[in-house]
Order: sequence, then structure tokens, then C-alpha cells
Amino acid sequence: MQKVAIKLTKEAQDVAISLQGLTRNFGNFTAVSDLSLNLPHGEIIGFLGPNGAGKSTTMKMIAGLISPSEGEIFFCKDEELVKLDRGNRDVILKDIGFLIENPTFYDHMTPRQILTYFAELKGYPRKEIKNRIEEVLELVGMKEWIDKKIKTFSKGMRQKIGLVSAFVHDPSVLVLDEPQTGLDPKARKEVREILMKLKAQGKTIFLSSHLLYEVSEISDKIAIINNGKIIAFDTVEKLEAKVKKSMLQIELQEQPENIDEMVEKLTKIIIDIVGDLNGEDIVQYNSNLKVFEVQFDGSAENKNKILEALIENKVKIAEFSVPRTNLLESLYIGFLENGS
Amino acid sequence: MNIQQAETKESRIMKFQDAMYIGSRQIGSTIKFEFIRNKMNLLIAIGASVFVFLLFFIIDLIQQGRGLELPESNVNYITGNYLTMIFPLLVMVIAVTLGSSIISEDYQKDTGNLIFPKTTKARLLTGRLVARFIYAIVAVTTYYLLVGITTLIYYGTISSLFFASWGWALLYTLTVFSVVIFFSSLMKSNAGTIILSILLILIVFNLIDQLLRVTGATFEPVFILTYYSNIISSIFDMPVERYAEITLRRGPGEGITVFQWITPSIGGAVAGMLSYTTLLIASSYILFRFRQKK
Repeated sequence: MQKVAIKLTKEAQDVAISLQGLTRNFGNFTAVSDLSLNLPHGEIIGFLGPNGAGKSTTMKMIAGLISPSEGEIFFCKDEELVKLDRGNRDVILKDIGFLIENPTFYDHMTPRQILTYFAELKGYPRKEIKNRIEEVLELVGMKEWIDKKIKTFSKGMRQKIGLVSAFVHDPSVLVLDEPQTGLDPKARKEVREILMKLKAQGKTIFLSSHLLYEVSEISDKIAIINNGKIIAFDTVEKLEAKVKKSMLQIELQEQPENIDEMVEKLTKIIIDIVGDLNGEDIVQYNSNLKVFEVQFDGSAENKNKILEALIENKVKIAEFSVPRTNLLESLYIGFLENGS
Repeated sequence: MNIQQAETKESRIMKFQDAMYIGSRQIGSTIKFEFIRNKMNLLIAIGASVFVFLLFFIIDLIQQGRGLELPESNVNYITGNYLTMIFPLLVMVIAVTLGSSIISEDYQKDTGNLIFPKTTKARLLTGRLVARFIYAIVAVTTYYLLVGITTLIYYGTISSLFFASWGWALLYTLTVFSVVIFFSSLMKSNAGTIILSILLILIVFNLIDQLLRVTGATFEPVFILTYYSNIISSIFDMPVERYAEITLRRGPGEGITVFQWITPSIGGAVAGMLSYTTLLIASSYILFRFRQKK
């Protein structure tokens, strides 16, 4: 007899999707290997990895577009984790919104026509569809485009419609595969803002990307995948503690005339606190941002000590911060290089 | 996490009912969406029907103007003017206009990324097939309507077999439609689907037919799709001779005798066209599913 539902333990009550030992083989090639992950309710979970790491394959398995070679996928429904299978696919996936890779539209259709179709497919109450479409298009700032043909839209606008198509039926979980790829910075920012609005509505968002900044800015937790395996999954801060590697950015009140001298001076001040760091440069100058970047172990104690030492040595600081993106980039590369 | 609940017979029945309800609703929504999406294609298909009708009508008017009298019976008027060899070509035009994009478009434009997993391939294909075939019926019926009205104006009456012919025309349209759908499931572009469909229907079947004739084959060419189109006009004269023996001569010699199959039997036509349709649509669905898994 097939077991179909799991009553949640206290620890698992916050789980929206649970991936258990997922493996997917394509012939002799293993795209995803023994992947396990619990995605908590109401959070944005970033899914990072280089091209070919297994992100899209994982997303497609969650969407039921391809079956896992091994392992199981559970979705939370009525406080139970229910295993996704062929028989319950419709009911389970009704409350999930998917955006798989780059969506392309039927160009001569309008957002109203396409979104009405998608809302109907997902079983949204027919009488409420008209209002719902106006509401979601307003959310993404495209209400006035509701009856315009999609062939007249820019790439950013199309991507926003693609995103709307994933949540037009008001699901509680969104699975988004690279929703910001190929967009210009303005459009990427708009997509980030939309995702934050959706999070504020209580939605769980599983967001894959290879754009570190896009993920780091909005994600509560980050899962890093490489060669089909999860090599890290936690908050940025905890990941930082795990690799004992972080970065501080120091912006001075006045730009020094001799940068090399200042790098040397800062290194001397800080080296006793952070140690040798295996011969890596402790202080570097980022000419783009016009800030000095300090490598350290990420501990709060050492961060305070560095600040105190700089003040003692009368370094005039305009800003002292930990940049999440650079930190994440450093972490990401560190994890990929170490493999675990 | 502890396993608490096992699947029961009742839960399996509920799952089945859910799937049936959601499935039928999704098919309905797809039909509605396809009606909207294919309005332009419908207009083109109707335009082709009207154009072909007008062409034959004008030819007939010119003949009458030059003193040629109308045929004695309305049946001869219909079969002689409007259900000649051009009519199967019109059916092919209608089928490729409405059917060529049915599957290949989603691969050509990557629109599949947006549609799936909102619905399944089976429901999508069913909805699209129903909607587009209804449009094909409208286009073919437009042609028959124009022919019927013209016949009524000239003769004041119309053979009841005209409606049988219309039914055969719709069945033949469905069969040609299934060929187009099959190629649409194989090809990555609409253009490829159109070219392959036209090549098969216009050239390949014709060449096979010629080949069979010159080799002296006597078996009925039930695998040649275009052979079934003959029943659309021959239904008016059933039972007609199923085949004819023709002598081909090139010089002073006795020549050779060849078999020319004229029309399938009613039972054979129904079985042949339905077999063709079932096989091709089932194959299209399997290919469609195979492409989904890639």
C-alpha cells in the first residue's frame, strides 16, 4: 500500500516544499544527485549555482515536468506533507505558481486574454478572474497595458507578464527559474520589488538564479548547488560563519592621494586582528566603488575590533559596512571551490 | 517525520474525480482560448473556401454566358463544378492553416515554458484539436453552404446526398487534419509542418498511386489518404464501380492494362479514415509526450 501523506512534526510544520533525496539521471549523466531541501513557509529561498549545476532540472522536477529518477517531493497541504504523484498532481500543484526559464508569449494576444486562460487553467473562480487580473497587473505597474498586444512589449514587460502568469491564480508558493535573466538593471529592480511585495503577502518563493546580487538582496536563505548536489543551505550570515570568510567595506571621508600607502596603513592596523589569511591580501582598494575592502573571518567580535582599531588610529571613516553581494560572491566562489 | 496516513480506495476515487473535473475544465478553457487565438486563421480558412467557390462559380457563369446549358440534375451540377479534384486541395489548405501550429509552435517559440505545468499535454492537445477542428468544420461548411445555396437558386431543390457528401468531407478533413497534427508533433517549425504535409498529400501519395498503377498492382490502395477523398463526390452515385481497367498505349502495340481504383466502399472509407485519424493522433500525442520529457 502506497503511503501518501506525512503528518508534520513540530520542526517540519513550517515547511512548504520538502525535497527528499532527489536524483535525476539523463542516460549516464547525473544532473541532480541525492538533493534534499526543506523550503520554509513565507520566505524567499535563493537557489544559486553555475550554469549546468542542476537548478533547472530541480525546478522542473518540482513542477512535475520531469520525474525524479530517485527521491520524493512533498508539498504542504492542510498541515500535511503530501507526496507529489501522478494522481494528485492537479490538486497539489494548484497552489503552486511556476515560471520555468524564459517565457515566450503568443505575440498577438493581450495580457488579459493570456492571464484569463492561465487563471482558468489553475481553477481560479471564473467570476473573480477579471478583477484579479486587474489587481495583479496593477501590482506590477502594467494595468494600462492590459488590452495591448504583447508583441508591442519590451523584454522587461514580457518578463513581468511571465511572472504575473505564475501568481495570477494566487498560489501560496512560487517556484521561479531565473526570472531576472536577460533583463536590464531597471527591470531587474522592478522584479525584485514585485517579489518583495509577494513575500509581504505571505508567499513562499523559491528563486533560482546565477545573478548573485538579485538573490542576495531579497533572499532569506540561500541554497548553493554545484554538480547536482547541494553544497550549502542557510542564511547568508550563517554561511559566512561556516566558511569563516567575510568582507568589510570602508569608505573614507576623503579619498587619500596615495592609495597604496593607505592600503599598507590599513593592513598594518588590521593584520593583528584578522591574522595572515593564508597570504591573501587583507586590504584591497575597489576603484569602482572607491572603498577599501577588508577580508576577515566574519565574526562580530572581530568586526568591532577592526572598527575600534581604525578609530584609535584616527582613520576618518565615512561608512563601515558588510556588503551582502560581495560577501555572497566570495562565499559562493569559496563554496564552489571547496565543494562543500 | 512519521508516516500517518495510507492511501485508501476512497482517496483514489476522489483523486480520479478531481482529475476528471479539473481535466474537463482545462480542456474547456483551452477550447475557449484557442477560439480567440485562431480567429485570424479561421478568417483565412473561410476566405480560402469563399475564394475557391467564387472561382468555380465564375467559371460556370462564363460557360453559361457562352451558351453552355446547366446540367440536368443538381447532382451533376455539384459534382461537376464544385467537388472536382480541387476540393481536396481546399481541405488541405484549411487543415494546414488551422492545424500546422498545433504542437510545433510551442517548440518554435518556446511558449511551452509558459503553458506547462499549468496543464498537461493530453488536455492541451485535446482542447486545441477540438477548437481547431470546429473551425475547420466552419470553413468546410461555408463552402458547402455556398454550393448548396447556389444549387437551390438554380434548381429549386437539392439532393439529400448533398448532406452525406458534406459528412464525408468533414471526415476527410479530420483525417487530413490528423496528418498535419502528426507532422506538427515531429517538426520544430510551422513552416516545416506545412511543407511536409503538402509534400505528402500532393506529391508522395500521388507518386505511390502512379507507381502502383504501372506495376499492375490490383490491391486497393487503402493506405493512400487522398484515395478516400473520392467518396466525397462518388457518394452521389453509390454504388459506383470501385475500379476500372484502363489500357495504356504509347505506340502501335497492344499496350498494358492497369487498375485504376475509383472509390472506396462506404464501410472501407469509414474504417480507413478513422484508422488513419486514430493512429496519427495517438502517435502525435506519444511524440508530444516524448518531447516533454526532454
